Amino acid sequence: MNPSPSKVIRRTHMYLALFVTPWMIVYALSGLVLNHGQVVRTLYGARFGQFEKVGERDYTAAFSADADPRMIGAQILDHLGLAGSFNVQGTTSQPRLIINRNAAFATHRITYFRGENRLLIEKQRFTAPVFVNRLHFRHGYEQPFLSSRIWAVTVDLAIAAMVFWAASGLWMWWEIKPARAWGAVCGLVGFGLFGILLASI
Amino acid sequence: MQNWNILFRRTHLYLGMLLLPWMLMYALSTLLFNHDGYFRQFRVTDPQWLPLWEKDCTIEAPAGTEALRETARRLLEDNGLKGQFGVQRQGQRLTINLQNFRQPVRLTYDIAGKKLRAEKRKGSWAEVFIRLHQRVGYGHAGLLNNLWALAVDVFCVTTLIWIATGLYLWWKLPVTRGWGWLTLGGGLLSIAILLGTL
Repeated sequence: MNPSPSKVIRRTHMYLALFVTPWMIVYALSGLVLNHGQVVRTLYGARFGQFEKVGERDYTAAFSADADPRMIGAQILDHLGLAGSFNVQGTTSQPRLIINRNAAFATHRITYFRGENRLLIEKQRFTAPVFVNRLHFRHGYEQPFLSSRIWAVTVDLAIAAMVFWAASGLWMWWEIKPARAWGAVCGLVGFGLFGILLASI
Repeated sequence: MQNWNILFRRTHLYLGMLLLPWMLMYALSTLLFNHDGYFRQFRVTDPQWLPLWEKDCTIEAPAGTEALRETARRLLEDNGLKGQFGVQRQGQRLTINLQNFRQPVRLTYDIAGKKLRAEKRKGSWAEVFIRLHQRVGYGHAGLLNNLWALAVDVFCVTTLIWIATGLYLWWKLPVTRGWGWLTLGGGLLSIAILLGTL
């Protein structure tokens, strides 16, 4: 016997939620951290987002004046055994190039002093708020690494899940007759409040 | 426990109805971030700011952060503007960004030339979504700004409540436990592998 559309919607709503539960926990906790940024910073003091020196080493490499900073960054990270998603601050014409290697649990900051052929390697101290925020901010398909792209797919999945929960939630609300009135009140209050805030601030 | 079941079901549902606009807003705005390359075309192009007015003005532009904010607050008030704002001084220029979901306003004060210029940002639905997504924090001007911050808190806490009540409701349906364990375990395993390899 084929399941009814209602049952399919209910089950999809639930199984989708069970799968993306870890991502939603990260987004919720990170949202709280961001909304109370000052309190969290005060709580952690100097430890919050602090970078500590890991090492310093010589790095002799010849890059042409027009070399792409990302190419330089990728080569340096590869050399250090830290390959993975990263971004670069600075241009090749500047004496200093900063490479931020953003892993899940830690960010490494590598400063390449081009004129001195030297690398300064620093690592951000692990703190739970920075960890959840880093995961929250991770998105997009730009990084050429498989795990980064799969993460972006999971972000799309979370988006699809949220839209589906909204649509299927409305369906289920309408099916539960005793909940129609209070559900409508909640919906109207929500949309009314959102509309006022959108229009006024 | 029929009462608990009903309580959790209704809590799950009514919170969902109440926060439906936030749920959709966060979902759609995240799409803009995750596909930035595509959606960049819907953001404003140069010139990003349109002139509103320019006038002569003589004020002190102090160096300290608090004093600078006070000066900015006074400047905004004197020109009939209010709301959440940020201020920065770069050399001979003081810039005040007055936040607004739909159309932010920027005041630029040329300290040497003693000119105050107001501009509004061009309209862009994509940027409205981005501003809605990124607005966080208490302590800003006015009740409504703090109400937005409260809504962000409520949304985050509610997400955790949805998860808790959702897990309870799943557990109360024995027939779904097998697939439920599989999807929940699949999610946990997937995120663990990703965290280890990112």
